[in-house]
Amino acid sequence: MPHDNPDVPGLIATAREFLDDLISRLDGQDRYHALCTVYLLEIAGRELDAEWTRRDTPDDQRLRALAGAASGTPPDRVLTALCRDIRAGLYDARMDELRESLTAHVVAKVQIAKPAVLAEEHRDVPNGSAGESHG
Amino acid sequence: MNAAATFDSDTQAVIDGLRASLRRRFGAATDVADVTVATLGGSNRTLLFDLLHGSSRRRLVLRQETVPPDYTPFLPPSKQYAVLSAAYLHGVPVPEPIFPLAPEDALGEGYVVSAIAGETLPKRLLTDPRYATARARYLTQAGTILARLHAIDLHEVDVLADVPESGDVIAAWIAHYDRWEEPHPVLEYAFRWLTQTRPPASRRVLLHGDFRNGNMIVGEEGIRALLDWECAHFGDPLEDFGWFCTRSWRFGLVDRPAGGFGQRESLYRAYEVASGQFVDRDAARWWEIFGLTRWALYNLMQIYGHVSGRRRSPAFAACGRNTSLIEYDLLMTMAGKVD
Repeated sequence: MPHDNPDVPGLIATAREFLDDLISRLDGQDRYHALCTVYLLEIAGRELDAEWTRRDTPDDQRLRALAGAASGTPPDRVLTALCRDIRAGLYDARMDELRESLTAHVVAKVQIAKPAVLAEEHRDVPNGSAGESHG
Repeated sequence: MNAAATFDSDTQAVIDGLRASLRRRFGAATDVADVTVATLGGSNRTLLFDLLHGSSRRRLVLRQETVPPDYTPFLPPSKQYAVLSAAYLHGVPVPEPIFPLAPEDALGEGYVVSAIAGETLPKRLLTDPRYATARARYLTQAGTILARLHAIDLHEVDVLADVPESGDVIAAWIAHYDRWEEPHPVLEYAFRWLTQTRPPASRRVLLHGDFRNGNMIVGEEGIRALLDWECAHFGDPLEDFGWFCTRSWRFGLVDRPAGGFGQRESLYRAYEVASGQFVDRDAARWWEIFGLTRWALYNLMQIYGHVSGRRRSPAFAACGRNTSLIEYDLLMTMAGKVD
């Protein structure tokens, strides 16, 4: 699932680093609750990691199709290949179609990052991919 | 008030060094008072202080580079100071340059300029009733300031000749993007589209490079000073217009494309009147697409600093995930679905 950096472990690590720094200046109940929050974040991180890394999302499938990559190609390899081919001009004859596909890809990212900013037409569409299913 | 009691040892060392650097230039009777550490910017330390000299007292600002710029495209302070000085000389409203730091100051790279009171927070400038008059004047003033800046002879700011963005600006940004090691098909698409549809360059001028709401100090009567010169370079004058009108710099007031203050025409016309130069409306829109692309790239720069461990912060991590929001604005603008 090619979201932008930081990936899920990176998001958890960033929050954790800040909390670790903060905890050194806290005491009493605030300190205890901050330590519990670190514990909760670590649990959430492990659970998300276990689920997401095994999942083949509609966005993964869309990008694979767009890049003409074989089924099972890791998402980061698909992204790299797609970038290389766009730069090489392989999509020049179908730029509008490329933009449409990339819009669906970006909508899938924004649905995780900040869904409130999406236009009406892009809301409440699971993973930005109406009509697609995976499995 | 004794400043020593209120600062951490790092800041106190800077204040001591600053006092020594001021005495070196203005004599032993010089002192520093009322120091405030401003929480501005991501890559600079900004100290406000009073310079005491005999019975006179003047509010000044020390801008000190704190992050080794090994992965950012920002100008080193010495070049910022040179450009700021030229702008000052030509009547562009900027803080008065006082002196650049020298090696014997042992304060690293930076400079001292005059302090200018006023507001910089974009949302407050766009909504607070106190700034109603300033708002009404803003676009006319901004257009006039740009006209004056763009008229400066490039020979006077030749320190910018070797800046990558002063050459082929698209190629310069592709090179930055490649350095930040995160593949983004949307940005590749934007680079390709920008390259294919690029309007012919009109003139080659001194650009501020970060000309937008938030980088100007404003009083109730209007704009007082243009700040933040770390993105200055040579290029098409429309680049400054495109950046100013980029959707991200409207701070939520998206139906007022000119910085959230009003319509593009107000800015264009003020510039045309002041400069005698025509603003190509269609080409200016191309530079807005370029601006959105560039803003997404600055976010990639921040997340590269975070992920590579050079400069970690929750704020830079948030920049990484916010890249998708800018890409969304970019694609919607390119599709003609938003203005």
